[in-house]
Amino acid sequence: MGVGWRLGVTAVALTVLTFGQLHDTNDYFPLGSLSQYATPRDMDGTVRSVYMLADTTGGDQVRVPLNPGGVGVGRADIESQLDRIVADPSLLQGIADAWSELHPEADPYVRLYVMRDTFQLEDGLQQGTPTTEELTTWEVRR
Amino acid sequence: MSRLSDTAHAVVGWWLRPVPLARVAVLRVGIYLFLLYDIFALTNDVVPMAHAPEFYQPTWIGRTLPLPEPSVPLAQTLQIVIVVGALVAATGLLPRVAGWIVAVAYFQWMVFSQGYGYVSHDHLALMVAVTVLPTIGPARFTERDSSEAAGWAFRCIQVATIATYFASAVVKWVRSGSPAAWANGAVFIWALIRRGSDLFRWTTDYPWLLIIAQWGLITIEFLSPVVLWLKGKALYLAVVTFIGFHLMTYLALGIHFLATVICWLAFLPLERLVPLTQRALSGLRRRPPVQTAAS
Repeated sequence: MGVGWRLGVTAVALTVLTFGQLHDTNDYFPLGSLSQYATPRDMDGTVRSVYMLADTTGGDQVRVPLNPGGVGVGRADIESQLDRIVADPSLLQGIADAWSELHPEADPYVRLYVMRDTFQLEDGLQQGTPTTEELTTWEVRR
Repeated sequence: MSRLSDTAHAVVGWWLRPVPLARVAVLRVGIYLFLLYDIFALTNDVVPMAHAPEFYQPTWIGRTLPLPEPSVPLAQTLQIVIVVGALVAATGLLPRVAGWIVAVAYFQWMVFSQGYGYVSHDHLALMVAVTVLPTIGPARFTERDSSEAAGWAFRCIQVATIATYFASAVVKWVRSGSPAAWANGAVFIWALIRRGSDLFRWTTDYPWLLIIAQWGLITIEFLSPVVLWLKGKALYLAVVTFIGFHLMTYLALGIHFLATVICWLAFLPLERLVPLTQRALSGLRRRPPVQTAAS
């Protein structure tokens, strides 16, 4: 049995995993940082929550299902690419196309909105109702 | 000098401590069948996300290796390869060939799944398991022998499972400056406001309760490597504690970490399931089907 390569591979993997943590990067996936919920949050800070709305051809305004059963791309994907999307809202065309391809029976989207709710905390307690902003919008090309 | 070689000996012995081959056979069933659940229920975003390729931003592996771009036909092909390969590998037939085919296809699947900006953190141990299982070779359910090759593979899965917790505590420290800064903060409140279930949403009215919970979590995460040396009841208690934590986060936030939970199997004496299953099967065979009406 090859002991050398086994221990060698183990050492390399543990080293990469260690640097993944110290550099705090997901880029070394699957040996990247285990940073789920690692960001500290301020007891007097704000809590932001991003979501998407859509106007449909049927005239309704609906929440875009950011999950595998909806448009495929998840909410966390949108949040981590938020700067890119705000800089270039035409990326949202992909969301509208994915919706139409995955749900051909449903009303297509005609306009998409990237929205953000912000809750204010004080001593960890939520103050009042959230403020809502529209971060960007995109008129869907047909 | 001899003390140094003693230490090296002990370290090598720890990484290669033999594991029964029957345990390998049972774990293989668990891991390979879980992969099917994974690609159809957990990382089932690969096929739908292939409809929005403009969002594909692969991690280092995806940019460095000459891997293909995501597409619907490729994603569906990977699905078929993983299903067939995992079913064959779960039976123990062609453990190396089927195992490596599954490993390559599953890695490509995961590079796609995690290539859209957000990278989830529950698949470390499972990806290690899929990589090391094919190195063990043949292992039958009824085998009485142990092997060092199996020992190394199991140790890798165990260490990856534990690293999922320990490393997450390290990153909390790195990001927050100190463990206390993280534990005294509003992380659980933040998580519950964003995606808390009705069952747990009330806890946001009691920040002190959530701070205690945060201290509890970061403590067991830092202590998690101890589990690698636990035996018997203490080990079982530790396994129940960590799985209980995942059950809580599932009920509170809808986050279950099942891909990590399945890897806790590598800590358990799975070979004991073999005689139990044999007895249950022979019992079924001996007993004739129950007559439904008096005849």
